[in-house]
Amino acid sequence: MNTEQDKRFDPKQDILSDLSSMKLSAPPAFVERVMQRLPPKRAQSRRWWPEGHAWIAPALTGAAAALLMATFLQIGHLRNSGTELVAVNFELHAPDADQVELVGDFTSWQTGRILLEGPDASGHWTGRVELPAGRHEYLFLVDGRQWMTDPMAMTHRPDGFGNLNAVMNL
Amino acid sequence: MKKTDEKLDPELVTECLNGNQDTFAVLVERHQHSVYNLAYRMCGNASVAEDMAQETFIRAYRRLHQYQANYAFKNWLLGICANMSRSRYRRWRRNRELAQAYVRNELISREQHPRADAQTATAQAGLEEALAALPEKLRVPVILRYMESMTLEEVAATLNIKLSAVKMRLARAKDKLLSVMQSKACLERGAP
Repeated sequence: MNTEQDKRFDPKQDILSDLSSMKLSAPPAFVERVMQRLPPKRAQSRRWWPEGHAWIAPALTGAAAALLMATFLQIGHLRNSGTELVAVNFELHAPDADQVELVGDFTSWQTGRILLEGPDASGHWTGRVELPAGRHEYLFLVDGRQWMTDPMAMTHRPDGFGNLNAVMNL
Repeated sequence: MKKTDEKLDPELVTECLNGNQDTFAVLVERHQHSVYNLAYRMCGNASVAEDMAQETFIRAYRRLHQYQANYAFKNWLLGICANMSRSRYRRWRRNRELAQAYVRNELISREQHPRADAQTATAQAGLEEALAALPEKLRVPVILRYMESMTLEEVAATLNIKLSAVKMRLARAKDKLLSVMQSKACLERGAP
C-alpha cells in the first residue's frame, strides 16, 4: 500500500522535483538585444486586406476574370496535349531554413513560384503540387540562395552547373 | 482596455502581425528565461546559448504568421529552440567538455551565492551533472516536463513525437539520473 511517506521517499520523484528550482535566467538586457536584431518591419501574411477599399471591387473582378481565363487556357492546353495532372507531395528536412522553394522544369526554372510550407515541429518543409504526367527535373532553393537536391528522389542527374537535379517520372 | 502586459500571448501575436513590433518585446520578456534555459541546457555554453535563444526569437518573429493560437506560444518557441539545437548547434552539444565546464561554472556560481544552502547546492550540482550527462533525446523531454511544467501531451506536441515515446524517454531519463547520482554518491563515500 502506498502511503504519503512512501511517496515522500521515492528517490526518482525527489530528483525530478528539484529540477523545477534549477531553471536558469536569461542574461540582463536580453530583450533589448533581441529587439535590436529583429528584421525590419514587413507586411505579414495575415493582414492581406487593404486599408483603402476603393479599388477592391475592380481588383477582385479583374483577378477573378484572369483566373477564369487561365483555368480555361490550362484545361484546353491539357486536353489538347492529352496530359493528365498528377498530385505530388514534396518534402525537405531543413530546420534552419526560413524559406524553401520548389523550382524545376515545370516552373521553367523560374524562382518564387512554388513555396513549400514549414518547417513543422520536426523541421520538415512540405508542399503538394499538381504536375503534368511525364518526366520532370527539379531542385529545392533554400533561403533564396542554396540549391539542394531532393535526397528522397529515385534518380538524380547532373545539371552541368555543379548541382544534381532530382528526377521524377509521373 | 487591457494594458499590453496584461494581454494574452495570442492577442500580442495578432497585434504584432498588425504592425505593432513593440508587442513582440513583451513576448520576449515573458518567455526569455524558458528559451534561454533550454538553449543553455542543450549546448552548455553561455554565449552560444544566448545566441541560440536570440535566434529562436528572431525565427519566431519571421514565422509569426504560422503560429496557431490554439497552441501555447511558449511551447511553440521551445519547439523552435529544440529544433535548432538538433541542427545548427550540434557541434556544441557533441563537445562533452563544454557540458562539464557548464557544470563547473554552475558549482562556482552556487558557491558564490550567499543564500545557497550548502547541502542543497551539492545535491543540485550532482543533479546538474547527471542532467548534462543525459543524451539529448532524454534530456529535452525532462527539461520540458519538469522545468517548464508541460503536460505529457504538450511535450509530445512540442517535440513532434508520440505520447508513448515521451513516457518511455522520461522513464529512461529518471533511471539514468538516479543511477548517475547514486554512483557519484558511492564514489564520494569511498564505497566500492
